[in-house]
Amino acid sequence: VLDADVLSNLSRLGSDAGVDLVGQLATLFLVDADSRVAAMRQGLVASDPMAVVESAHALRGASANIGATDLAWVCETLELSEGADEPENAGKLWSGVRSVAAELELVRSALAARSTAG
Amino acid sequence: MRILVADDDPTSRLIVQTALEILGHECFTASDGVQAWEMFLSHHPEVVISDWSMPGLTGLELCRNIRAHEGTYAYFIMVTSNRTREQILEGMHVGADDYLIKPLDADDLQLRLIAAARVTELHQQLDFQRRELEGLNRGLTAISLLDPLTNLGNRRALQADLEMLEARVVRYGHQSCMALIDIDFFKGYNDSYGHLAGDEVITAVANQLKQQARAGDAVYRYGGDEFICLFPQQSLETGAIAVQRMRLGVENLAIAHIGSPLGLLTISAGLALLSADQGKSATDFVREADAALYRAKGLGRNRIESVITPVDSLP
Repeated sequence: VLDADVLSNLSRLGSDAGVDLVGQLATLFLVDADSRVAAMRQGLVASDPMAVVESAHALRGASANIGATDLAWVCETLELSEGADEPENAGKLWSGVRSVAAELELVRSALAARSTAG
Repeated sequence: MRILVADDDPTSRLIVQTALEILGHECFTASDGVQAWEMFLSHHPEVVISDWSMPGLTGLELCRNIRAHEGTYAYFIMVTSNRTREQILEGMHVGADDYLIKPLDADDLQLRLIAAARVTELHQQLDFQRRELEGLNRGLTAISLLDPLTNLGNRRALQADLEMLEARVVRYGHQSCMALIDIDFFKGYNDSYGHLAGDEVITAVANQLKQQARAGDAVYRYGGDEFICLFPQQSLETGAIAVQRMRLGVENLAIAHIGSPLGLLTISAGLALLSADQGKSATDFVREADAALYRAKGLGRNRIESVITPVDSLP
């Protein structure tokens, strides 16, 4: 779920700076990610596919930063889904957002496990 | 360096900020494009690290604004999560100096900043040299318009001012008055007292003309012992009053001149009028003043004439 190389680079950077960078990033990330998923759901309800795509794009960047590679990939799939603005593809968007939300929960657990372990 | 980080993703901001602070840079962060632009204007950063897609103002628009802005060069690093060649090309074309691809890598960032520091330093040197050159040029321009002996405007300054005056006369229908003034029996003065004394007398007359001129009037050394006064937006009559005062002023200096019938150094003046309806050029203007001066000489010197009418009827 989390890329070990990315996380070890970040924790090295954090220890150089004398801060718990990974812990701070995890907190920032989860708050930001929850609001992005909420925005995606709102976009679905409001039939605003662009809002869904934009939120997916933003969440992809943040996920990649903290090494949540799978989540980044699910976001990218959603972001680049063909014909997102066609009404008949609404179902594809709904399932895409569901995958993002499910993957986010895995990341949340992995980050929590990491912080109790560390 | 002073570095502005613009990104709507808080994790990106924190990673970049942490990396920059380890490297000893001063870091400001903005969470959207509009805020980034405001901070750029108020904080004058040397480097901007900006995300491509941000609400308010995109990274591309921010870069365009910064490049259109006057002032010291800011090194711009575009951050993008799309590796498409087109997007990076577009960013570089708009004025980005470099780019980074997300996910951000602190080591990569450090490498980019080495180039940023070098380029920023070069731009600061260039800026400093440009300011120095501008100052020198201003000084040289001022010097090139001055007569070194009298510190009056020289012929080049007159040329420029006369063209401007002529344009104003044509555009606004003003009239303007000019006086061509020279020292009576100046050759004789030089012969009797020597050229150094001649220079001193030219300076004394120049100072007197300057002193008697009113605000808005301009006095130039035309050459040798000849001076020109410009009286913008004045008639022959009001110009004559000013020149009369100058003539009396020189007479009252009471500089001895054995070559003059009065025994004193005096000046003569010819006046001319430049007005829109007469269709005269600046050159005609000087020629007329010269003819009037010639007349003043013929009529006995220490007097003022215009071509049209004698105006030396004042005491």
